[in-house]
Amino acid sequence: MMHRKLALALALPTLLLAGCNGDAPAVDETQMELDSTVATLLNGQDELSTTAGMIAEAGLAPVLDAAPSYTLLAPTDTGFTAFDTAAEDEASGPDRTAVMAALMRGHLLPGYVTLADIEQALDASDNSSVTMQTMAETPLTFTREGDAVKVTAADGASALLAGGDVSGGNGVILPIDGVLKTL
Amino acid sequence: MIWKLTSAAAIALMASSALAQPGNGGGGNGNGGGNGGNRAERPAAAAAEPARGNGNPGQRDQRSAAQAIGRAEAQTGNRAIPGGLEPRGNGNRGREQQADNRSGASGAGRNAVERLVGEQRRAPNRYVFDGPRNGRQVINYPGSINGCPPGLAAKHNGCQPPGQARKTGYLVRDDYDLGWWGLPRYDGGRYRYDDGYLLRLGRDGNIASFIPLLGGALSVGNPWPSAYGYDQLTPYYSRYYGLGPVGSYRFADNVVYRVDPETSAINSIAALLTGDDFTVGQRMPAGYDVYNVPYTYRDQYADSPDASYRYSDGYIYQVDPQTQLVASVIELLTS
Repeated sequence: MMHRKLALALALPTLLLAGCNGDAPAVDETQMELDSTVATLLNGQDELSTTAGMIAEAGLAPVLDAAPSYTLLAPTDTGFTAFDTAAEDEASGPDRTAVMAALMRGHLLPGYVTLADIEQALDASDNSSVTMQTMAETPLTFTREGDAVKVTAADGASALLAGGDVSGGNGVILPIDGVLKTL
Repeated sequence: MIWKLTSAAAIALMASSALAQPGNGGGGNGNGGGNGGNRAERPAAAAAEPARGNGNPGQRDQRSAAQAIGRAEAQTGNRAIPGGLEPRGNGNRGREQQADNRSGASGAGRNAVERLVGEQRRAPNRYVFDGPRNGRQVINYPGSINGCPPGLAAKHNGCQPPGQARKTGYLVRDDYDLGWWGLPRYDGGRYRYDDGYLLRLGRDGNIASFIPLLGGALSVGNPWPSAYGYDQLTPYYSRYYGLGPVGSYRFADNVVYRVDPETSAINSIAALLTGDDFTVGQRMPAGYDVYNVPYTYRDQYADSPDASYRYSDGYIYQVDPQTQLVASVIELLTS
């Protein structure tokens, strides 16, 4: 009988996923802390501060702090830079939070999805393409891009999975190098 | 941060698991009750229903959880598993069975609540299942609200829209399709954004109807729009998402909001749902190509050549890997 030690944070072997375009992964090791929630872990990721801020401002942090599982495709701060940093500063009030909520729910998948799960599904796929529903009711499509995994939104916005899953007890954070929505 | 659990039973669970199962520590409850995913019952005259009950937003219904654990032991012969994190094997899958698919029957009367519907809009029907007794139910997606938002109405300007679309920050479009806002199941058409709402303009150029947005008008601290109505989740969903009494939450557009039962002010966003319908005997919805079973159930419900498992909105579904047909529905809480 195997017991999982919940209080133990496991540092799994480093998982590198350098994209074929030479982009360096923003986070280079897989982190598993089963006694923490996605909301808590998100706040501890140096490269995901913009996403963490948006989740909080949109009021979605409690969703990721509860028991039901979600997987967050989290744009890195660098990924947001390419998006539009000036726009975030300019927006305020309900304009700001409504857009952030619309953005972030399209980056959330139902359940617990690791990069390994996605790669396994891609390996088993006939056309090397798999889709997952989001909490914005629009699908994301995963494909391979060299050695990396690419994710594409219904509106054509795409990003590479940057590597470094962060797994909590209630879900997973998958860093990505762009934003999956077109303004 | 770990969510609050206050009952003795819950604390006992927490002793071995900081991240307990939603609602209780059951290790998965096979349920052949047919098509899962009955998310909501729309209460009659939902919009006018007064807030009631002694809701305690933010805390779980621990009594239910404790009771459920006791029943699980009695019914399945399995030890209730704290946190569901101990190995479970297949022992407690005895209640899982091939569900009978009672499609066709419509209990629309029970759920048929007319929300205020825009003049050119008919909400698409969504079929959900309410267990073997009641068969399929029809739920209408909420429509936009006739008229104009409170702020504009207060200006007594005849519900005229702002002269120009609000463009600031990330808002760069004159008008939006609803999919951009995570509302693709509404009907088509273009909507103008303004101050936390989407506005649909009528042929006369005035605002015909509006939709309050998650994070916009539907933000923490704001009152629930009295005209917007809401859906009532079934007891399973309420327990799974830890929502408490009926009056303490609102469910609309696949978002669950905790509200103050007295004032209807939004306290927090509790959960997001996909709204996807999994029907036993029918093909699994698109968008579930990747194994996504929550961590604590992965040992018990691992994909095999004979069965795939997928999670959506509080249920795990067993799917035939060859045909992609949904074989059974597995509740994650004992009841």
